[in-house]
Amino acid sequence: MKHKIWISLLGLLVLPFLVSAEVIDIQVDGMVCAFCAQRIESSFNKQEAVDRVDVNLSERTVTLFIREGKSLSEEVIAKITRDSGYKLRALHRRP
Amino acid sequence: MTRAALVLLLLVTSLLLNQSLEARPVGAKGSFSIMSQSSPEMNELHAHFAASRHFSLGAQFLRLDTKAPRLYAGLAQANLLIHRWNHPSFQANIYAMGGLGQGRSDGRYALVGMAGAQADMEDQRFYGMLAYNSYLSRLIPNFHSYTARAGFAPYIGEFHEFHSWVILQYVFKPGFQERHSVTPLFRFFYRNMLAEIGVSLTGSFQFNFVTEF
Repeated sequence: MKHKIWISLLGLLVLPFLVSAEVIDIQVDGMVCAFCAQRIESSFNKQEAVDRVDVNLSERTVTLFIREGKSLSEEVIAKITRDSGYKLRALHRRP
Repeated sequence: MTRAALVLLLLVTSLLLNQSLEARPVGAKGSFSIMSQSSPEMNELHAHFAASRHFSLGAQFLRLDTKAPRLYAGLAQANLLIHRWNHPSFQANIYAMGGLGQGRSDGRYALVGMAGAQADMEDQRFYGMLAYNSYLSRLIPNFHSYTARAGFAPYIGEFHEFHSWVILQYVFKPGFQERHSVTPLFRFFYRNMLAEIGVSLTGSFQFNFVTEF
């Protein structure tokens, strides 16, 4: 019995690392300054599905770390980018 | 459209239209922005809400020292993003602004109207802007200003780093004592705050500030 409890606890600890959340890389046209990037970061951070936003200004890319069990469709990502004043050029979901 | 054709289009449009020193007259949808511009001749304070990526509505408070008595005014103002070009390596915009409110000068009150337009273009290294602004009221002679700006970034910073720009600004204001002014400005921004500070060649201090949240 004690053995099973230890295995269960170990499983709970390891589980978050085995089931990784989705990561989405997007390329944004028009994101040429930190002020622009700030708008995009802020808009995505307001989304419940988004855990973290990383901006690479020199590459004009934004990486979205999606919360476990949540998702964000391409249409929604394109709309958020558009509403921020920019244009979604490309989207890549990491395997 | 090639970049050269786009620059030409922006220049022509700007010459036909008008100016404001607001860095971005329309923010992201649902965002608030506060912008101020201060010089010995003029103070402007704007508070705006962007209802969409094309349109923002807000208020402007103004102090204007022309050759006429000093004008104080409060206006409701609408800013419109007419068109934006989002390119992988640059962005260009054309804006129009209009406002209406009440002004006070020398103990008298009257309506004040404003109209303006701005065209700008920037990439990570270079920035250019042309603009026109006018204030119309019975309290003062009609006020017009024409602004041209060119700037460059000495270094390209990453997102969370401190960014600096060097900008040269030329303003033609027919109604002012100093009709022509040339001002070197330093622009700094960090995250959602942008500040510009400079002194004109004749010694007039200028400070501009923009934040969006």
